[in-house]
Amino acid sequence: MSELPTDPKARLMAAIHSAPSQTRKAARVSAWLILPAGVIIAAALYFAFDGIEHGKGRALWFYVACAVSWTAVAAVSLWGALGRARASSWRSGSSLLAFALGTPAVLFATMFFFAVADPDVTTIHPEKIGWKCLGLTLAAAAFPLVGLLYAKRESDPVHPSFTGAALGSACGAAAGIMVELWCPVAAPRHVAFGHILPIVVLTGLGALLGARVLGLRRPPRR
Amino acid sequence: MRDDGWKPRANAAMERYADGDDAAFADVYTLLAPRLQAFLWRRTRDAARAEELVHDTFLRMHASRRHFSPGAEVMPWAFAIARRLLIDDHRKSRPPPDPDEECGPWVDAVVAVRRLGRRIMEELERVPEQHREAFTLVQIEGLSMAEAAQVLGCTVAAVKLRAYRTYEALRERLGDEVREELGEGLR
Repeated sequence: MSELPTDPKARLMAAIHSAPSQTRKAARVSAWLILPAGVIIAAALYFAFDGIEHGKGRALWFYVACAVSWTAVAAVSLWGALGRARASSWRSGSSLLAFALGTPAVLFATMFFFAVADPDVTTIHPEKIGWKCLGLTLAAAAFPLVGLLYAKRESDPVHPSFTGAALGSACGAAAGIMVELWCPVAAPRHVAFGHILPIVVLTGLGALLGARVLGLRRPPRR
Repeated sequence: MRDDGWKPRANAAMERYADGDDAAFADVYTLLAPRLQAFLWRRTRDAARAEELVHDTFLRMHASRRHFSPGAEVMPWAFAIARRLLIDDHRKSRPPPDPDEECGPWVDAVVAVRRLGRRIMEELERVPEQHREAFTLVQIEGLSMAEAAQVLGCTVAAVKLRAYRTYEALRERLGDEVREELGEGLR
């Protein structure tokens, strides 16, 4: 067995040469694969549950408004969760918390505004609670959330649970785009349970997983 | 510590290293290790433990180099990693530092200043941890407000407020002692 160097710098260099790490470029390529894979999974779910036929019955303006508003909020939420502050490798805790909690709040407020602006949109199946919507959102968000948590594993030494919560919220909002295209129901109770609650659940799940996956661990002693 | 000339060099070296130039890590080490060592020594009062934590910090930087964002500053990133490892280390119930132990290389042989340094550290221990950390990073480690905000994961305004409150608390508790000690020590 070879002896460990006693000089701290030499010891460190020996340690890093024995355990190569991924470079930024290699990581970027694998992270970008998550986006198309997530879209394919969402599209597969949409068509598996007869999406085009199921989504009919709404006024065209409401259909377009839902798609545009959810896409815009999801894009901002993803930018918030994956982006960073200037000259830093992460955002502040308060920004991440604002993105995590603000996403479901803004989405519910938008849908509530549409319902108030044109009460006719709430007349389609207002009795439906929204179990399918809840399940579809969770199913479509699961892969992107797990994929992004894995891609960003051990990346946040400051507030991994807040980053995880923001990622969960963003993945829920992104999955919600497909569910909005699929579901014609706009009654506030249905929206709250079927469309917003899964985002809140994903936010909580992201926070729990984030603390475990995104946080740094001390390297094992040799 | 206030000389910022080394920071762009450290940032550039870390950029090269994150992009795959393994040799650049030696430069990152050379520029950051003394600062991390001093930061961790002040928090542990144990040279061997501080050295161990510096080693672990660089190992984590190596393992996480893919997460170093282009254009980011390496010092707050390194300090944030070191701080996290230190917190984990504290949780493993290490014995508290001996108050009579050597105060370290930053306090020279002048007895009055040495005593004052110890009193400041004692008083610093009494202020809330978040406030103490902000004050220490800015006033002792020489980080800018923005860099300290990155390390602590809060806003610049929060760092300013915390550091100011710590400063006020120290001034209130030690103002007279400082005047007496420095008056005697510098005479």
